[in-house]
Amino acid sequence: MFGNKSRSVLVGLEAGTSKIKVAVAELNARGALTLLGVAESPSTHIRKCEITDFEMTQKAIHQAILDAEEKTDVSIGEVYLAISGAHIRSFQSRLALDLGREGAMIEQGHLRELRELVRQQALPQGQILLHDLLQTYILDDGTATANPVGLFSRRLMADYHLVSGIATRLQTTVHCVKELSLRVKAYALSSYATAQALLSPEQKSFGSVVINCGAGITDYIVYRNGFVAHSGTLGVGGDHLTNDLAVAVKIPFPRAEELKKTHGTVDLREDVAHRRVGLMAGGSYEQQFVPMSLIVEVLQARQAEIFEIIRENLEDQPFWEGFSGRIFLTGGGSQLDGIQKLATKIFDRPVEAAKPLAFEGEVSCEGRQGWTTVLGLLRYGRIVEMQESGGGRWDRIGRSLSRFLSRIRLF
Amino acid sequence: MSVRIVGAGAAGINVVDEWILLSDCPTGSLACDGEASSVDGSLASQKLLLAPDITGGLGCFGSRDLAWRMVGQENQQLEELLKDCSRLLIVTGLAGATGATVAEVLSLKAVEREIPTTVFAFPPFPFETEERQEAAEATRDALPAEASLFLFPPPPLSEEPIPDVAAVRRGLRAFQSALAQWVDVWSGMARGVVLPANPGAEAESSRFTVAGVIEDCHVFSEARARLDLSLPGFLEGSGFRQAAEKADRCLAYIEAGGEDSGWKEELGERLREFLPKRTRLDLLRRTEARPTETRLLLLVGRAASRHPTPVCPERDEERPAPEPARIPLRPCVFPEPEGRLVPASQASQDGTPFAKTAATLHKGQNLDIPAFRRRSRS
Repeated sequence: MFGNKSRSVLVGLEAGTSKIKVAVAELNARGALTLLGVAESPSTHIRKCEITDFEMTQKAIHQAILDAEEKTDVSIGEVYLAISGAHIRSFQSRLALDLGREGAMIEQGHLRELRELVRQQALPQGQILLHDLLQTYILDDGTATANPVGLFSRRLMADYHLVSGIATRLQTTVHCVKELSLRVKAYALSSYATAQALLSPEQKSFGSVVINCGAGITDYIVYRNGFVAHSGTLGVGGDHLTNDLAVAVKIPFPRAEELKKTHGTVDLREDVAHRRVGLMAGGSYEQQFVPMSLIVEVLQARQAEIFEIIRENLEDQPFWEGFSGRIFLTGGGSQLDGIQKLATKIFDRPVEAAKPLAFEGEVSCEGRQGWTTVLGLLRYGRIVEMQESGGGRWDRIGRSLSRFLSRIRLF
Repeated sequence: MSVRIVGAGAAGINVVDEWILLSDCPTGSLACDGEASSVDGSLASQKLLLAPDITGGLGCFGSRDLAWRMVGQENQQLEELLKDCSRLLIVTGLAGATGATVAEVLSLKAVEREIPTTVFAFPPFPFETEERQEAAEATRDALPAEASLFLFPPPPLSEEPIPDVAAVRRGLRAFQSALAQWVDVWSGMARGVVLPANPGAEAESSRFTVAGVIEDCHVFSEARARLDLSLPGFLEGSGFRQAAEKADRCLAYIEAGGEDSGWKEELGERLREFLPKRTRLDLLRRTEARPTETRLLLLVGRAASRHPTPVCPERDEERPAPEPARIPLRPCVFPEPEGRLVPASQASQDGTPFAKTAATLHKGQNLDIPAFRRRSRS
């Protein structure tokens, strides 16, 4: 498959609250990704990551796709789509498979059976399962392992992190893309995709939290021991900060957005505490002066609340007490001045700005904080493609060899 | 002080849900019905599905007998609800069987425990069957006299042969929102706080709500000191500056311990003048027709009144007043005021990015409301 050029181009599409973003990459025969280009168009009819105007959103997506095609000289036929929204729910699930009183050797079939079982799990009405992310397998003696095949046990348990969403909302997003004659190859939870763009295998193993501060929502994901331990979505984002500012200063929303971008901070330093910033006259607006202390107070109250809600949610998780990983901030909202300092104070853990993992090619992804989700979609797409193709020639040879060696060990 | 707001039946639950979306502090809400879908889908903090083993969560299909059986089975649960409750508000539609039965039973139980109880109810639509109209009438009469009853007529329906469904739905939604504003104001008053319906926004507040605040402001006498500060703020925030000044003066007068007769006159004057000149409210016309004392009794019930000697609404001046305990309190019907009702939930969100989306709720708080405002209030 890697030799097939038409299928080796991966396209990530994110219909976000403030922008529609598209990233295009090429997957070469070695399984490495080369970033070909990125494109974006403003989205005005998506709120909290949910489409409020189908036609206008479709036009915006179409514009972004055309732009991407022009920049990368690639004809886009299928995309990997990021899914998000305040309706997304995640929860843990543990399933058990009885292997008989005498025990039995665990085979691939058992793992498939467990996976089927988890997919059949009952969900609240109207919800569908988005992801069933395996965490670990547990044997009857309590041993946890990522690959139990070949081991003997009387019972096999599996822990899954499940993500579900309201079917109709997801249908709207998917339908919006399909109407443009684009095939949705697969979709991924936005925070899951973001983590793929930012975290190295070591960081996933050691433990990391990625908080994606978007315009409409804030989503987060926790990796621990190499698997997804927890994820969540909060329907509050950068737009709320802007709206708070608009209400407090009594200015229209676009002007508040401008004020936030130019002077917004959540760190009341001495040098700015007594300053006032001016909003220039323009159009129907008059010149206006706003004290920095007010801006900081308003933005800090909102941003602190967002972090506190996330912290409360994380504190409810059993693993959090012993969690020693780092917290990474990403998304457009993470560029707000002083946000890391505030997050460090609230989480009482080291917090740093996330940097996307590098791609091959001339197009750099350095400084693209707001692009992490689409870049992550490309990495997610790579995993999907490799699983579909069986992981490439060398992987297939490696698996055959290990099967052969395991037989030698048995006899 | 624990205030409980019960949405009884599907119609009541809808109003309570609207209130939760509207209010800054929607605590103490309860959704109670026999239909699993309306209870499960509610935003209330507590939910009570009545007798699922009898109806399988499908409701009672308008059967009053079945509703009584369901409520009887949940007797203990309903009594539990009233524990530590210091003030109770029940919102219900009288046309439905479950809501009306729950309202009747719950208000009787609350009155037995001397819990001040208020019922917000709306009668059946004119097109509903005679049987339903009679049943609603019977429920209204059966509500305990000690409970205050507010009746809200539902919006009039279009007389066109094929009514515009969207318009009917909009009308119902506006009605629910207006009623939710009442609930919000009642809840605030019960907690001793009156807050602007549209904080910070230049939105027009429903005259319905303003009238409600004016009517109720003196009722909770224990909260008077705080009302002093917050009522004028509410009125000013709602665009009724003159009324705010008037209310300010009136409250100062009450605070100073003025004579009863002077207080009444001041209140009457305030009620007449608090709205813009072109506005016409039936409520005001009735104010002129009836003595203020009587109207207040009708509105808020004897238990809540600050007047030491209640007066019978239909009292003949020449006859002696009957004993207060036996006075049957008649419900007071509030006609919908003329003009367009602008629910605060819609008005406050217009022009913001959240106008077309569901509110983000977290632990009973609407996170779409500016954080600095919610924090400063709490």
